[in-house]
Amino acid sequence: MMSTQFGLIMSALFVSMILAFITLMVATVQRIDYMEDLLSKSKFVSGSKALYARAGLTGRVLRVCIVSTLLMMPRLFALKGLADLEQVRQFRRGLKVFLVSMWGVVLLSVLCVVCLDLLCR
Amino acid sequence: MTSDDYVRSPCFINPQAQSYESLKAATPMSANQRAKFEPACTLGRDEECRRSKFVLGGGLVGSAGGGVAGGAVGVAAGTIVCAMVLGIPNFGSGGVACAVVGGVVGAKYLGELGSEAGEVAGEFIYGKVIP
Repeated sequence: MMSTQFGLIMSALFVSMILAFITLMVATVQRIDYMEDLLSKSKFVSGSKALYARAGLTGRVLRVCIVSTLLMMPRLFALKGLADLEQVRQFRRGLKVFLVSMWGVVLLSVLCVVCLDLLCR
Repeated sequence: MTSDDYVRSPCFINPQAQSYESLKAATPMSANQRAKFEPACTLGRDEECRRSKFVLGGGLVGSAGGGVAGGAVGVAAGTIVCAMVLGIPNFGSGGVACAVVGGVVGAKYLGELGSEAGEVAGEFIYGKVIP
């Protein structure tokens, strides 16, 4: 069993992770087709759309994660020819900021949880 | 409903049961649930039983939330690692395999950690809320 302080820090990280994840999904899961249309020239997005198109709600959630990741680090994907930087630049700014910030909170929380777990073991 | 029906039903506790042994027989649980629940929720130990509800409830919330978020992050991470490092395209069977492996690892790891953290938070809340 974890110590109280360690457990509470972990719990706070989990709460922030879960809240950011739920907010991201509730706000964007219905608009995933529109977002993918805005990034239609990116192979990474079209590939994930083809892969998860028939996976229902789970597939939509995963496609939101993949679009958010691509918007977060477009240059990395462009290096491998998986993203079109011009389309990423023209992506709706408000939506892009929302996706990147919420997904960033989720990833940062996961990173902190993993680091804390590794440090305290 | 007869006494035998209550014993067979997974949703009811036999109202005629008076002793702990007969309550146990009438309340179907998995071995794991019983191991966690039994010591606290026996007759005459209400305080311990209430505490275990907070602790196990916190563990459940942490496990479910951590599992879902961990699974999604794991799928994204698995797909990206395969696409960027191994050069496997994110469609076809290779992409599915990467996504499944990432998702399972992420969900299991964060689900277990979330369960532990949730139990600690549940115990803390119990200590603060219940005087």
